[in-house]
Amino acid sequence: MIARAASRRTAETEAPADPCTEVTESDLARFAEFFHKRTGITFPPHRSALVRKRLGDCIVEYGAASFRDLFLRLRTRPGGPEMQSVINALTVNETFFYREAHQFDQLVKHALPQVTARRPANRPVRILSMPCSTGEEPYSIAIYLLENWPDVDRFDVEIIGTDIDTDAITKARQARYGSRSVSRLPQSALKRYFRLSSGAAGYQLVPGVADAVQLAPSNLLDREIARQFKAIDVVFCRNLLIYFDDSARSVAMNNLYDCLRPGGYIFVGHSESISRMTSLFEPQRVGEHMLHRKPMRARSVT
Amino acid sequence: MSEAGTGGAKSVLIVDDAVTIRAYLERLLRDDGFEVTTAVNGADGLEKAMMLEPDVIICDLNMPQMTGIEMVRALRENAEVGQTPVTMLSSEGDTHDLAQAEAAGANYYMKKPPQPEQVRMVSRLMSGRAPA
Amino acid sequence: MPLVRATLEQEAAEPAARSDDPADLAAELRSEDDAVRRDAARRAAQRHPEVLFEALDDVRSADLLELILSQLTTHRAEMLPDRLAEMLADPEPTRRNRAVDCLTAMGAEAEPAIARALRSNDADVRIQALAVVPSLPAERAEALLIDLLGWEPDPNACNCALEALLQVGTHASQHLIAPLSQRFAQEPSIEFALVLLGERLAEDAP
Repeated sequence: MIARAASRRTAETEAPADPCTEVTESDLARFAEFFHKRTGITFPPHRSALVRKRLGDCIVEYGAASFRDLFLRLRTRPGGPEMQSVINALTVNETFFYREAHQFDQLVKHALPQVTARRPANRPVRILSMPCSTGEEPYSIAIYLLENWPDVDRFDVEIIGTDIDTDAITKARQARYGSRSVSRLPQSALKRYFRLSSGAAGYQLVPGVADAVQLAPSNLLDREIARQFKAIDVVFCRNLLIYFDDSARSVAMNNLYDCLRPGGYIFVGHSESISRMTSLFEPQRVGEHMLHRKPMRARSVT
Repeated sequence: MSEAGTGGAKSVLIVDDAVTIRAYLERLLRDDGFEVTTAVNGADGLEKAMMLEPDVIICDLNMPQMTGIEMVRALRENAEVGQTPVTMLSSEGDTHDLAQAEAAGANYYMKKPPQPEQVRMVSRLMSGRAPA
Repeated sequence: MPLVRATLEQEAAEPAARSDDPADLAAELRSEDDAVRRDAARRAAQRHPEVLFEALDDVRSADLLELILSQLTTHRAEMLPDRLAEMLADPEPTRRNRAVDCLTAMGAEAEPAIARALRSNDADVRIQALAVVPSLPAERAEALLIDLLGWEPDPNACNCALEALLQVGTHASQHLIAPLSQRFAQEPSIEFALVLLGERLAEDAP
């Protein structure tokens, strides 16, 4: 994030809020409502202080006179650079192995048993990770399944990672990661699936996993995407849709729908809400979690 | 909310895309002793109904993404919460809508704008709570 | 290893090059097969959007309706705003609401059609149109709302307009509150909305 503009106050004192960059509780409530409507993102109460701080940073970044000024720009130009910057400031973009691993747990415990029920063993399970960035997500899925899915030996598993950024795909193919990136992996998994790479510090994913994951560039908004990735059983599309406007999001949702088999599951980021974005998918309650899948039969309008 | 029906306060889920109506109904029913949760469209309402298992649902008919009618239809197909009583809110012009709401499985219909006495009475009745 | 590298069919796997003739597309849109219907909708959007407009009236599956409207919105079909505004009066609630969703996604382009719909004699059409207003450019949105609230007799439409004003209103709308509160003195929900709005607009005071 952009550093707060130099202030005459000394850094070491807990300075009172700057009247220009101050974001009050009532500002925040109003902003949260607006932001939720536009992006589907909500903030849990314990993040209020952080959100206020980040909004203060955005006021500085865009030379806005006050929160009210920034908010006016957001409302009048919701597709503008200020909105993009606010989204960036309020979402965490760092990717690492086993990020939001509770979703992998839901995958193994609930989604895969459903999609493999009554399935002949010779039909592979296909999982799509989009956007896959530099590969942490598709490789995480591979490792998680090898470690945790009891039926992993009964089915062929095809994992596909894809991203619009070809540089990211190139890096993903190299499958070499820094220690920060692998810090959430259990030690046993780190030992089993990574080798310390020679020379530069880093962890090299073993070829058995790296080579098994297919990586290819693609654009989620491309109408041909459902031809490129078809008969997908589970798609992970986390922390991407929030960057789209309503119309692009609707294209993306329809494209993902067409990539999936009937009954196939979709996972989005924890701050994103499928029910905010579309009614194409069917909710399914699993304990305290809500999963979403493509309906087995088309839902009727009337 | 998840303790609904165990003898504590009865719970109501309000599903409406308008923040003014949500806040209005929420205030009204909270003051009348209900536990209240809100949802912003049919899909959100369906998920909250499945998650929280409320005693009663009050739901607007016209909403983005998924209408109240689509929501009730989907709700009725759900094994766990399919029996939850639903009141549909709509403006008076929609007789066709009323028929559809009934066919979809709504139990009751309230004309908008919602009147306080009616909202309270219908909620008490549907939740099986004794009249005040 | 149970992991198997997936093969991707990169070649343009156009299944036996289908016809893009309008009559064929229209027939495919009525197919029993979901995938065929959806594929036809995508092809029609490119070449013959008029086929999609005609199909709108008898689309029965929710996913196809969502796809068609999404395709028309992205391809910026010229007659779209007016056709969608007509759909605001559709007897099917699902269709009305999907029209609202699409008009909302269009932003400024929807303004002329929405401005016309706000002058409809049918309060229900005005109510649907009001749901789109907050997505118009904020200044225009507020102007439309100020105009409508000057005469709107229907309490439900009034509530929807207040809802919209809560999102886009500024101090310029402050003067509406007192007369509205008199005009709808018998409507507790409007009274409540006016209090919320009053608090919010006061925050905007210069």
